[in-house]
Parts: sequence; structure tokens; C-alpha cells
Amino acid sequence: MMREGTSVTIEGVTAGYGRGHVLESISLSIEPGEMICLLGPSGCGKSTLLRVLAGLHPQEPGAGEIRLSGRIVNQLPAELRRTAMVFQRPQLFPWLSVAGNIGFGLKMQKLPPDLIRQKVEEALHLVQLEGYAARRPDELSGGQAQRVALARALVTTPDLLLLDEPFSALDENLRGEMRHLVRQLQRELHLTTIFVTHDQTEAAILADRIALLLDGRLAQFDPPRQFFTAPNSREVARFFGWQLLERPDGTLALRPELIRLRLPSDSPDPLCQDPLHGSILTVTDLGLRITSVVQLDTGQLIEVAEDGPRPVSPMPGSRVRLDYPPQAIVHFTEP
Amino acid sequence: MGKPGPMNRESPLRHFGVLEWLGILAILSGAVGPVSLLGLWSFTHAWFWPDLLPREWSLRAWSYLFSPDAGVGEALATSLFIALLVAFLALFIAWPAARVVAGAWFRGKRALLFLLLLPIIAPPLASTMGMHALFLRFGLADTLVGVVLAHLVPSVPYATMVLTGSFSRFEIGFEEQARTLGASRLQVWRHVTVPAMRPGMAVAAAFAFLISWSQYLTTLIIGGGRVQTLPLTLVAFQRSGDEAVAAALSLIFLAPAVIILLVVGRLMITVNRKDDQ
Repeated sequence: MMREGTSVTIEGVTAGYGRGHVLESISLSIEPGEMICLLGPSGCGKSTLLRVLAGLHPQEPGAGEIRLSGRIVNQLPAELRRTAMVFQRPQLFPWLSVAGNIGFGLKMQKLPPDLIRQKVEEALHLVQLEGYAARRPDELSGGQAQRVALARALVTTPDLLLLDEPFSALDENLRGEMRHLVRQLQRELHLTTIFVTHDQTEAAILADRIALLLDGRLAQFDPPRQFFTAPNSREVARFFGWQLLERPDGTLALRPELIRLRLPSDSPDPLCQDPLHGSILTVTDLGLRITSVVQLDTGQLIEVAEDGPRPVSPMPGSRVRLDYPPQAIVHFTEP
Repeated sequence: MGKPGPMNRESPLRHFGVLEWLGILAILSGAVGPVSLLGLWSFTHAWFWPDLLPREWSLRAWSYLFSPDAGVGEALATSLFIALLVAFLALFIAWPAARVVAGAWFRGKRALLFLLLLPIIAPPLASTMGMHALFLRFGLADTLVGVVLAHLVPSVPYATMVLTGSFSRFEIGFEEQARTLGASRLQVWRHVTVPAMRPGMAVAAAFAFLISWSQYLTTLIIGGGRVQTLPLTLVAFQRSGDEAVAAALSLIFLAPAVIILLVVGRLMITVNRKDDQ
């Protein structure tokens, strides 16, 4: 079922609710078969962007263009865009069986029943639910229902698959399984996919590239590792857990996993030009990871995450020196 | 594979105590008592106090009702026609109103609700007199169309209330989901909205049917005696003092209501499986 895959070009798309703009001139260019995570805190506009792409939310007239492999879809109604969407809730039609649900899109295309049955079987196989064709939606677990919803979208062979936080209602173990399934199917089918999530770990696991949306703007669009090594702004750094220190010459962002706690008497790290000094406020020892909050002598608080276990946990109140290698810091000087 | 269905579940009757059984008895005696009395009465020749049971049995009332002289067949057909038309039209009118009322809050929603329910609140006699004056000017008085319109007045609010309940439980997400799967607006309506709303539609239509079916005063005033429905015939027999005939006709009058309730009951509990392949 390997296909060519669809490229997606979004140019200057703007959209609003009521008077205010939720999306401010978003531009993204997605390669065929790429998996993109739209990441951001709630209210940043990521779901709105997905709905604009699906044709369920109007974009600002005249502002921007959406192209699927060169095909301009801005003006097309949702049903003609070939952008199947899976929502947070599975939304299986309760009056149809599992097979009826999966075959829904094909029935709308008026395919012959035999062909529909065959394609539904294939789709059930893809999501590992063989033998469930005759079940009713209320006889499925949450994970099974979401897999049926996924099959229902895949069976229409969309140009672009849109997933709106599809696993956020599932428990953690199941979520991992579903991520794996989606990633594997998406690769196998070479299906260009946009996955909305507010969870940076999920985004980092799934995405070829992450598009971070903050306040309706595209803040950074890069492979996941870039966000942990080279955030392009204070806001991006803050969202990805960098510790920010305001200084007269700008903002220093520190990666908490790379900071080392040392006693003031320990020998200085030759790589660290400018160690920080302070005292420990609180310690959370989770065995494999020890998180400490340190109050610097300048009064600022900073979080440090170290790998455990350590023979002696640092104690609250003790004086410490914070060493860090050059790759643990990014300096923002622009205001 | 065993499917959990309503059939396999434990019957709630097991947990009934004395109070629950007394309640059921009260409901049954209220509903079944008068009806069985009517049944007895319809087969009597005469039944006088203090006899516990009638002395003479007879099929006179029934054979009279089924004879062409009685005009029952015609009245039954008129009543059925009007009630079915009212049910259909009420659904049609109530649908968009219910959809708006069930949707997001907007300025003036309370006022709209009040207006929608006003026909139920206003005394029927007053509104019917007003309608009659109006219909006279438009030549609708004494016509079938006029009676249908008049029956719609109390039917639409009830249908709207029922459909509003269904729409507020209806997931708008279903429609959006269907569209991203390639369903046109018409297909969404036919394959998603209507199946999802089917139980509510059945109840709303049944309400409208039964309201129209039992209208007396409205039909009398607006129809002016030209539109002869079953309740009008029934009252005529009742007035004439022939209680056996009136009892038999009451039973005929009751039948469609019972049938409708049974059908709606089935529609409400069975999920429609026709759309599956």
C-alpha cells in the first residue's frame, strides 16, 4: 500500500474566533510522508489550525493558502479535502457496528458493498482488531474504540491524516501502545500526518518535526532534538523546560539535566567558565532521578535534574555550586 | 460470542418492595380499570345499578359501529389523516427550532423559549376563538386545512421540547467527523443526523399524533362541524345516551394510541441495524 505521499504547504493562514485572531499568519511546509506534531499549551491555537486544515473552521478570507501536493484546498468544503480526522473522543456512530463505522466513508463514496467489506477487513487487520467487525461501539474498550476510529479514517486513504489529541483520554500504558501503532502505520502507508498534542514528550517520541505554537504563532519548527539543544527564543526554551535566568546582558537558559550539583569545596570544572552559587531549597528523590530546587545567591530559583541513584542525596539548606558544560546553556540577548 | 444486551440483565423487578408493587397496582388500576369497564360495557344490551355485571350481553353496539350508517369509518379516516399530517408537519416545524434552542446560548434565548411554549400555557379555548376569527378571514374556517393548522398549535411546542432534549444530547462532533470522512451535507443529514435523532423523532411525532388525535374543542370550533373526527363522533354518541355504543367507540378511539405507543417504544429501545453492511 506504499503511496507517493502528499506534501502540505501552509502559507500565511490566519483564523479567528469572534473578533480576536487565534492563528496569526501561520506558514509551514511539510514533506510527503512526514509526521508533524503540532505542540503547544492549551489555547495556543493548535486545534484551531487542525480544524482549519480539515475545513471545519473558517480561515480569514483572502489570508493565506493551503496546498496539498499543489492542490489548493482553502475554498473546498471539508468533505472534498481528503483530510480524514481522528478526534480526542472516538465518536463512533452508536447506531452502526464496528464494520459499519469503518466502512462509513467508503459508503459515502458509494463503493460496491463487496469492496467495502474487503477494505474494512483490511483496515481491521491494520489496527489489529480482526474479528471485531460485528461488535457494537459500546462493547469496545477506550483503546479499541480509538483504534476503530483510526481505521475509519485510514480506510478512506486520505491525503492528509489529522489527529487531534487522539490518545489523551487513554491511560499511560495504552497511550504508548497507540503511539507505536500510529507511528508504524503512518510510516508503512507513507501517510503525511499532523498530530496535535500538548505533551512535549509525546511530540518528541512521535514527530519527525515539531511545530511549536505559542499564542497563535509558529514559535519554532524543527526536529525534536533541536528544542532540547537549540531553542530559538525564551518562550520556546521555557516551554521545553529550560531554566531561565535573567541577567543584565540578557537571558541565560540552562538545561536542568546537564547541570551538576557540587559542594563548594569540590574541585572546579575546567569547562564551566561561570559557575553559579546558592543553597538547596527542596529535593525530590525519585531514585533514578533527583530533582532539586536551588535558590541562587541572586535570589532566583533554578531547578536541577540529576541522574540517580546517588550515594548521598543533597540536603535542603546545604550550600552548593552549580557547574554546567557549554552545551547546557543558550544565551538570549535580544529583548 | 455472548453479547451483553438488555435481555440478559437482571430484572429490576427483583428489587421491588411493597411500595413499588402498590405503585404499580395503582397505575394498572388507573389505566386498565376504566378500559376493561369500557370493554364490558360495549358488549351489553343494558346495565343498571345495582347489578355487579350486566344481565344481557349483546353485539349490538359493535355491529352498529361497523355499519355504514354510523359514519365511524369516515371519522376514523379523517382523524388518522389529520393526526398523521400533524405529526409530520410538527416534526418539520419543530426540527430547526429545537436545533437552535439546544445549541449555544444567545441573547433572547429565554424570550424565544417562552414564545415557543406560549401555545401550551395559553388556555386552548381563548387561543382557538382567536384563531377562528383569524381563519374566517382567510377562508380556513370549516376546512380540513384549518383544523390541521389549529392542531399544530399545541403539537409543535411538545415536539420542540422532545427534539430539543435529543439535540442537546446529540454530538455535533458526529457531523464534523462524518464530513472529514467525505460525507456531503446531505449525506451527513441522511446518514448521521437522522439516525442519531431517530428515537427523539419517534417520540416527538408520537406526541404530536396523540395531541391531534385527542383534540375535541379545537376541531369543533375551527371545523365548524364540517370536519368530523372521531372525538366529535364519540361525544355525539355519548350525548345521545347510548352508552354501549359510546363505550365501543371509546375502545376504537383508544386503539391507535396504544399501537403508536408500542411502535415508539420499540423504536426507542432497538438500535437500528439497517444501515450496517
